[in-house]
Amino acid sequence: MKKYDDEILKYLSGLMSPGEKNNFEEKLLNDPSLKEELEKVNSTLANINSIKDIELNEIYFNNLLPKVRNNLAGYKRRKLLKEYALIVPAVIIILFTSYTIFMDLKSEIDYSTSIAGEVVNNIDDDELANNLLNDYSFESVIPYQSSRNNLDIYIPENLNLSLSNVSHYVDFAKIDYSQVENISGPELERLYNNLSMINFEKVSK
Amino acid sequence: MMEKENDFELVEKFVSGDETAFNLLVRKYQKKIYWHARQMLGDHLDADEVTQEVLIVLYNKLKTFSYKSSLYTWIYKIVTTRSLNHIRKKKLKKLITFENDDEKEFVSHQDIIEDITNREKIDMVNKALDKLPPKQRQIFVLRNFDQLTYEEISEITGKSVGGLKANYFHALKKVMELVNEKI
Repeated sequence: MKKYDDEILKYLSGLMSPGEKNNFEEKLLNDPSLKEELEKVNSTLANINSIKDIELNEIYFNNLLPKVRNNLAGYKRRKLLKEYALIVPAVIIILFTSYTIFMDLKSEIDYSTSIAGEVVNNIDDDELANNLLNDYSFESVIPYQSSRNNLDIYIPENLNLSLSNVSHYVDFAKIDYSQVENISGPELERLYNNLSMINFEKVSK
Repeated sequence: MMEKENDFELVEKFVSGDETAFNLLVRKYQKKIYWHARQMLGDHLDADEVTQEVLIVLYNKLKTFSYKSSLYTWIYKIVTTRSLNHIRKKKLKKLITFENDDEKEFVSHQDIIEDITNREKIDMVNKALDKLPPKQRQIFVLRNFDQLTYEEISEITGKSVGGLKANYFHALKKVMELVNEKI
């Protein structure tokens, strides 16, 4: 293995300081063997570097761009597929979740409706009178003696209470009301809710 | 400077949707990309793979080019990094599959260098380059074949100029010894 003067390689690598470089260049002028050695290194390097001038098959480079374009089209297709691969399941999940929520809601409404029906059909008059009507003060109601036929107008439709039942509850409470229409909305709602709750619990048992 | 401006114009055209600008950039840089990959990897098939990979990356990432550096140093950054990754992948593959050099010889017959003398010449240089650690090979190739300055190589590799000079010195010493051993 031929040993090269490190100084020459340092010079060619640019590793020398400006002072070292000046000294080396001065030495080159006075030392023909060093100069010859440097020329040899440069010639070998030039020989190595000449490989970059080797002629390449131009057909390869002419075909390179179409090949890359082709790969790019494939790449775009794969990218699109990847995106679809994410979008399609996402849409399916959203649709499925929406459907499930809708169906749950629907069955809940159906269940509530059927429970409400049961509540109304299983109203226990005494229990209702004992537990419920006494809790209401009906402050906004003015007692009076008159026809109770108006009462059924103000009972919510869904409750399906017969007029005789309503009259019974009111009689039980020993309170006569005039202008039942003056019962406020929230009060009426509270009454309805409590009626429903009592009988819902009963039905559930 | 003019070349830099032309490159920037082409990039701007491409970014604004002119696909032909990309074709022009490919035509301009394809040989440089191929040669760098070839000298880093020593084999046509590997160089071809990396060249195509780099051109696809170029197409996809050109929109992110910041115009802070010249386009060709940016391209060299991509091709040299990809080449180093390819070397690592091949080494790993070799370890896993117990691939031997005979298979490499068989593969290397597929080449775009038709002249036998030239092919022998390039093989001789590649054998010397194969003995270098990948990072030294990278600096030797960038400095010698691509004729880049240390400052440009520093921009590409992210290494200090002093470190690059030292690396180049060791690479040069080894290559000179190996090449002269063959002569």
